[in-house]
Amino acid sequence: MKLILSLSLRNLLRQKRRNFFLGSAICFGMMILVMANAFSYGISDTLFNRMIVYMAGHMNITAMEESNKQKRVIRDRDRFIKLINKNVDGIDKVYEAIGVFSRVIGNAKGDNAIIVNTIIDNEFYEYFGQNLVAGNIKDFIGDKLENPVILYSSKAKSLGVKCGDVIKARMQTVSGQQQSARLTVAAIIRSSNMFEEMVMFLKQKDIKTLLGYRDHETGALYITFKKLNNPSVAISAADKLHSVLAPGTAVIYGEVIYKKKTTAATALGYSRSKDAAPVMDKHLSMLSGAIPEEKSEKGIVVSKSLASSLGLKKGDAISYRYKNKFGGVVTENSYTVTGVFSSDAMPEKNILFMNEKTFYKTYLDNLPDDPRGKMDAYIPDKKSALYKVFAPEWKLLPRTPTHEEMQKKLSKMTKTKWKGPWFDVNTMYETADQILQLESALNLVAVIAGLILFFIILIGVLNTLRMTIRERTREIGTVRAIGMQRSDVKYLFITEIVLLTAFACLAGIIMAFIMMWLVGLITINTDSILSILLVNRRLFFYPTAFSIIRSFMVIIIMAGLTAYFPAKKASNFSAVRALGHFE
Amino acid sequence: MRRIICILLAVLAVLAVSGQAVQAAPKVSDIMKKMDDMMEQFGDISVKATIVQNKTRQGVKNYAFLYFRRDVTDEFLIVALEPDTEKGNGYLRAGENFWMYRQNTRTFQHISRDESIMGTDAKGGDFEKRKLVDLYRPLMGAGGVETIVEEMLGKKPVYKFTLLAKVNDVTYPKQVYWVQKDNFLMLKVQSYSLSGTLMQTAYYPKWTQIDGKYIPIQHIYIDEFEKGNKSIVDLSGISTQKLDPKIFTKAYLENLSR
Repeated sequence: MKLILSLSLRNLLRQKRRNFFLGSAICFGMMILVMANAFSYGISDTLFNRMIVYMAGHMNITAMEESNKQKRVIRDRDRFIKLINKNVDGIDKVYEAIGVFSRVIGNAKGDNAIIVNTIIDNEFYEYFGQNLVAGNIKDFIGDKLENPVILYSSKAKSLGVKCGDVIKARMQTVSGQQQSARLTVAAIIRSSNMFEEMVMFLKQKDIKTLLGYRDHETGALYITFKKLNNPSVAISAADKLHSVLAPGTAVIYGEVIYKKKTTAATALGYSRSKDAAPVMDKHLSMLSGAIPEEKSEKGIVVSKSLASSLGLKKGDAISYRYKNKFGGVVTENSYTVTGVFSSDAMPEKNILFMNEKTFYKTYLDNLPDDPRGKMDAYIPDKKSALYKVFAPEWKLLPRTPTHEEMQKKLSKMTKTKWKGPWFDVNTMYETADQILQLESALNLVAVIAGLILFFIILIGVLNTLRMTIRERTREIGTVRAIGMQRSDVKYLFITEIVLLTAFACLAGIIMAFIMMWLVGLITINTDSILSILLVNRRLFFYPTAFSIIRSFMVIIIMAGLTAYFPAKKASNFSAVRALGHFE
Repeated sequence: MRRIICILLAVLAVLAVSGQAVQAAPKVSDIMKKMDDMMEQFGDISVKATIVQNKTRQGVKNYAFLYFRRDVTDEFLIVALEPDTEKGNGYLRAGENFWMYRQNTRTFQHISRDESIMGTDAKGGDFEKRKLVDLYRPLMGAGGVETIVEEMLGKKPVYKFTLLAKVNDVTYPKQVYWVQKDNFLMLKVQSYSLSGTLMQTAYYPKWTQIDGKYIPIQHIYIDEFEKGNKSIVDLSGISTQKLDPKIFTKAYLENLSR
């Protein structure tokens, strides 16, 4: 083998000019292939790690109330953060994500912007410190300015504002009310791509106040992982989290007040959906009155036990109060009794039963204290015949593998009349699976273009090899006459081509890195859609060891296969015939 | 002494007259009920609406659409007539479902009530029928008394009062109304954001009466947040004749758009 290697190397050096040109062609092809792959990975890296990860986290939990109003709010933030930390491994951080589309007016003109929350941590100092153009980060963190905001230089330019100036902003609160605010420009930073330019940063407490989120509420929870090498890590973590997010029955435990008499009672919501109504009608019988109308906001039915303990009958007005989970406050609502029921699927306890609209109206805005551990509370278990009738804490949307299916799922959700919260778990790979498809498509285009290029080059290799064999036929006869085996002759030629290709590919890889560095030095000033390909106004290449090694191996194998047949033909020459070859 | 007594009597007389004036002003909650009652349409209605929307740096845009509403089934249908780019597009609301129809693709898409209608400032939710008394309560002054003042709006004597939202899902949490004294028709409404900034002033200069109910046939909306933006809505061809139930179907909207 060593002999074949040294002979191959010597033979390569014998025909320097021919091999130089052939090697140059292979080198060029490899350079193009490496650059094309690095470019397509660069685009997806830009989209994923500089855009999607900020828009969706690696993984996220979102909650939407009142399906057709797009009301995004997670009421009990800490409960879900605990759940995430307990069930998901390898988390870097879990953070609140709050954003709102706004109309902003500066000194020059009005523009649209997305105002998002920012968390003051090390990453904040690193990012804003590195990209600071004007102003002071301390002004943003401090309390001296009214709603301090950080914006990108292009937005500052379009609004005609500088540090210290005031921007008027109009937005919608989480409940859909109009809100306006004066934002003071604390700092201006440079953007690295066009997607960032729309964004303006407010401190988390400021944006929460403006949008009407309370301390325990948030818009969505985003999760980033310490290390995320491939989509399957986030996807399997999301599947696991989804499985532990199964909701229980929503229960309020409080007390009913009627004519100065008070008694403890549990309030539950019921569904009159197509599935639930027959079950309810089967297991619940009205002793007097009737179930309140679907649109009723005050009507309730009470259990026989509650009716007899307070002497309630149809038409009576009662008050129901309960302690909230947050803020130590008590919520009190007035209801009208529309009927008294008994049920074979519920214990003889004091129970108020109300439609989902009435129930969620108070339950969501004033989350009740945990009823577990309360002696008189009725907490339905999953075995209850009425379980599917009871209003759940939330409904969980199914996991969807693609963006298209996710859209279908959300569209289906908005068609429902459900008044309670929907929860959804996604990863950025589903949110932006089209980007993954784009990356695959770009890679495929790069590989096909590279292979076409190499096909042409390998025709040159084939031609060169045939020429070499023809020129060295007598030499083949000589080496065969002095004892070289047929297989050695074959491997000699194959090794020559493989070595030539390997050296040329290595040179191509080096050339590719030099070219990527040179191209990366060119600043491209464009505001067109092409700017999504740019990072810091420069083309961004992201070469990966895997893609380079893969391209290298493919080309070596192709070259080896191309050389195999002419080399085999050469090895089949008889020594006598080869020695007699004359041109 | 007589002089002092005269002054005291004069002061008492003035106080009595002003007290009578305060007493003469109706309660805000009664005015709200009256307004709801006067404007509440129950039945079917069809109307053509034109909107002239003037936005700074964007110029003037004209919109026109047909609006059909049936209260008994909680349905409405909007079909765009102008501009040409929107012609044939429509919106159909049936109960909790709200669809947007795109004529060029012939597709229906479920949308939220917060989405803009034809790119105007109007939203799906604005076309829902909701009573003032269900959404707002009067602002109470010192001593828990409803605050109402009498003043002149141009040449017309009006009652001015402030309403605060009593539910969360209203666009404006605070509104100030100028209501004509003699007939309780609203002439001007100023809407404030949650932080108390004046966001919009609306004028309702023209009204018509159909079947005993009042309908404002011209609305002028002035954007107080982004100065220079203004929209004028004119209603015409108002009819309260019974509408064919087929109107509130996807098929009708598709056929109408052909």
